Amino acid sequence: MKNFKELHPSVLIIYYLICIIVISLLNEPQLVSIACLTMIILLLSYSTLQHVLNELVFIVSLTLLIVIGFLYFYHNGITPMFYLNDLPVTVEVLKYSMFTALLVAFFLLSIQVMIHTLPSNRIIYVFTAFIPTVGVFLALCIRFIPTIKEHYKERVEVQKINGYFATKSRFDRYFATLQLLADSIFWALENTFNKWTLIKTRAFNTSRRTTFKRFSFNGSAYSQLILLLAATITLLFYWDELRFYYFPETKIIEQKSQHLVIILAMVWPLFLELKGRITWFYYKSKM
Amino acid sequence: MVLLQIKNVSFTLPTEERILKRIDLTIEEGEFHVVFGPSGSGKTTLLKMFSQQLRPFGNFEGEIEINGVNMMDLNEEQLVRTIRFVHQNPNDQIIFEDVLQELAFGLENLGIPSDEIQNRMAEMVHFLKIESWLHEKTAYLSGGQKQILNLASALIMRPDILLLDEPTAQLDPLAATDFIHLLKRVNDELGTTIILIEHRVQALFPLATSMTFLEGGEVRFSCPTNKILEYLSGHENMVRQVLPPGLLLSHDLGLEDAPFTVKESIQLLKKYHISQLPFIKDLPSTYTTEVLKLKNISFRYDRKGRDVLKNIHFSIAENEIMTIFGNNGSGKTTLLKIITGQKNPYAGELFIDGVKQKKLKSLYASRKSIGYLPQNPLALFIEKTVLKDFEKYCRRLEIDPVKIDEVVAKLNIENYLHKHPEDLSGGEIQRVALAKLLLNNPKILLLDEPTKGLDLFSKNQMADLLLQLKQQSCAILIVTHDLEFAVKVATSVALFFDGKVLEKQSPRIFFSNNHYYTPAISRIVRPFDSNIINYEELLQSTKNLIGEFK
Amino acid sequence: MKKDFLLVVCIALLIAIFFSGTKIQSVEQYESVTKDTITEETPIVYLSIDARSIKKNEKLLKPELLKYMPSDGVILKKTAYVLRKNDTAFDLLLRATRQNKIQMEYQGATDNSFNSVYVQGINYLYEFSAGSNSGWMYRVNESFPNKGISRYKLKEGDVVALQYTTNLGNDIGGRQ
Repeated sequence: MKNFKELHPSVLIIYYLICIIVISLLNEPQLVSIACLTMIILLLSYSTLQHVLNELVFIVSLTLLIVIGFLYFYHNGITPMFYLNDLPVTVEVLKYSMFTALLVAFFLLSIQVMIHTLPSNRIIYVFTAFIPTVGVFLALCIRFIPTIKEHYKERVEVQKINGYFATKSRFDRYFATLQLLADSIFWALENTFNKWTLIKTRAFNTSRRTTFKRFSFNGSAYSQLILLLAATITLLFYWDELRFYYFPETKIIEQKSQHLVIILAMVWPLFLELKGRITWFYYKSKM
Repeated sequence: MVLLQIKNVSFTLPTEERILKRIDLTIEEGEFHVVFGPSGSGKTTLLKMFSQQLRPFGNFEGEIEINGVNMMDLNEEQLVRTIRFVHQNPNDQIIFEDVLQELAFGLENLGIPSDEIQNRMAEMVHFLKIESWLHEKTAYLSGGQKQILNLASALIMRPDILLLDEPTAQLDPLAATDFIHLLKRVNDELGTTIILIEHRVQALFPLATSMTFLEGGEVRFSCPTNKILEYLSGHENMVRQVLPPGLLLSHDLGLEDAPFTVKESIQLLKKYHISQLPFIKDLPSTYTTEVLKLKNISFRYDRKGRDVLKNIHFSIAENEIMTIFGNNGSGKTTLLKIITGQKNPYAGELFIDGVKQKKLKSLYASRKSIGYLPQNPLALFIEKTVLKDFEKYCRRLEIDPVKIDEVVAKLNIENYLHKHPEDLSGGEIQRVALAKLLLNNPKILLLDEPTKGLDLFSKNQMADLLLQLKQQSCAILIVTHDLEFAVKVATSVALFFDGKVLEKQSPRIFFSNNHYYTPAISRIVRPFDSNIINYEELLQSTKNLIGEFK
Repeated sequence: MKKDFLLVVCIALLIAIFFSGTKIQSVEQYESVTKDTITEETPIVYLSIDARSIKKNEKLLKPELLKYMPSDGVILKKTAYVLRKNDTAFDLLLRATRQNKIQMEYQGATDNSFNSVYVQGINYLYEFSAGSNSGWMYRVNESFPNKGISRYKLKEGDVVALQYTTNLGNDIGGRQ
């Protein structure tokens, strides 16, 4: 099924990075709302409804807290609604807080989508393909903490059974546990170092390396990259025009043609998903 | 054609310790060569000589020639393409989470184009039948699967020589057998030369083309498998233990046949017109006081799951060694955890010395009088030297330090006291671990797979030790796969099946009744209506019978 | 884990609210503040607020603020106010801006013996509103005190000047 998720992971990484950077810098209400919506739809297509609803509940609660917090601490803006502790609570701060909360929501949702579309092995794949040392290093890091945990759990269990922790002094026990933990950490470090030696026996060198191409750059990938590039260029060239501000008077929300470029780059994955599903539906009907 | 020539190779550590002493070995193309010998004879070090990175610091003398070319004259890439390794610990060799990425790694490093990589991967997956777990995360694979992955990663580079260092040591017998048969397929169907260091040599006799016996850093002999009897003299007690029973029998009776398998051994006996072997009367053991009793114990991990232990009911006396057999993951280790108190059953009672045991309240409490030897005995040790560890343990549990001297003398571990536990070999660490457990004078010893990875010589030592302990009123419960070991040690055996511990029986009755779950000797004597379970009985009876014919 | 995070944020917010108080006034209530009458005997101090430095560097100012900048850069010309007992420079600023309906945002308790108040912005001009070196500074009688504005106790006749700088004080003649 050719859809967004199956694109080359580097495209995905660039997409997330650019989206987050562009949207954060611009902080424009329309863009943030559309970005949020895009992420919600993407998350719905990759995860269960239940999960999305849970996320939304969390986000709404957080939004509430953010708004209240902002109202208490920011007092800029020309239209006060009422005064709190001798400082004005303005409409501008209200708008600012709501859209900042929306930005935070976008950020949290995109992290969720990232978790579903970029499992650790794909991230490692990207690095191994472009910067091999970092890729291998990441692969070793990912196993580092689980190795410590396994080693530690096993030893603590065995020591417990054989009465090592049966002392009356609590301090003794804590100290003993800490010592075991430290041992496990050092052991894991040594283990990782040994692994590095074994890696070298497999002729690891960064010079003449190829990559086995598990993902390819197809038309969808190129189209996404081009759109992202266009969005970045638009942002750089039209920065002054596109820049949005809330204080002292909120900028009037306009629909600009430059926005369209950015919006298109952002919602392109939805289009790819849709295309993928329609094609799949078509194939399925033929089976 | 000579593929590998090891000439006069010696290796000395910086501490002046000579590990390898003037090794001369010739290995021909296509051999399935098994290297065996007691722990610490330098087998692993010999293996490490074949790679610059693996070689430890030290002084290397001599030459290694591959296909007539000195190893030093080959560049790294050539070496990597010629020789590949598979090591003992399945986890240590796997880098990535992705099976595909792991397979591709070596080829990527050699700069092989992507299409060819895909082809080779497809080939390897089909050949080794990896399809079913191709998309699993490597961390979730079983030990056997991980080793097969390591084998695949090595083979995908299309080496001429495959070097394996005890690859089945950490695997359960089923996975081990599968792995060895895979190696045989690789050797037969691809012609790859295989050099295998192993302890479970008995089962390798039908498969190996040649064998080398390494002891104390020297090659005692190296010969084709079917000629091994000719080289027995001078190394009798060491090599006898690795021979399959049929072969040993043939040698001891002065016969010329060389049976390797159970089938061939049966044919040998039939050839000499033996139709029946003695049925030995089983003397049931008399047990003294009961030390451990499990009554209707049931356990499951979570409410909706199924029972891991169902109504377990058995007891162990203070002069009894009970062995429980069963597959990995069947719940045997859970059973041990119930006895130690780490997990609590939802039904049933546990009695130690007649006293009903309560749930352990605090997270840190433990049941007294129990000593637990885990599958990985290294987990028992915390300090940097054995002696320090013992001392700390005594301090913690308020044991008189004089006990340390007692235990050291009893188990003869004086030489290991100042060594780091990780520097000890498999057999040594087992002894030291047992010594530590004995410090606390346990009434019950629980041993979880005590012979894992042990060489035969250490196994015998351990068997003697356990029998000694039994005499001193220590009840021992062993969970194991090792049938031959059980024959030596157990006073009672039972099978663990479907969450239940089946009826306890004496070893003789158990093994002679079972068709498959028995040591080789039982299977050999089965067609002869016999219940012989150890070699001495077999030798004795056949000597009498064949003596009549000769 | 998410629930724990929400709980922590909630508690932090509640603590902050508790410490700052919850005095709510409507706009009319706030603006109905009486002016002190100045008689001959009442002690007097002076206050001025200006952002003339921006006039020289108009490019640095954020475009949306231009609308709210007075043409000559003077937000409040030098005006006399009654000196109340124990007034600090900040108390004066607070009263003046409130009376003259000039926007001012500050941070910190007005209890001068406990906290030092930080003036965040006056007339929508905040720190960095005109470049990365811009902000507010205050002078008393032409010199720059090295105390916080809410710690400076006023004496009769003091002339307080709040001035906006676009380069760390250099353009208004002060050390930074």
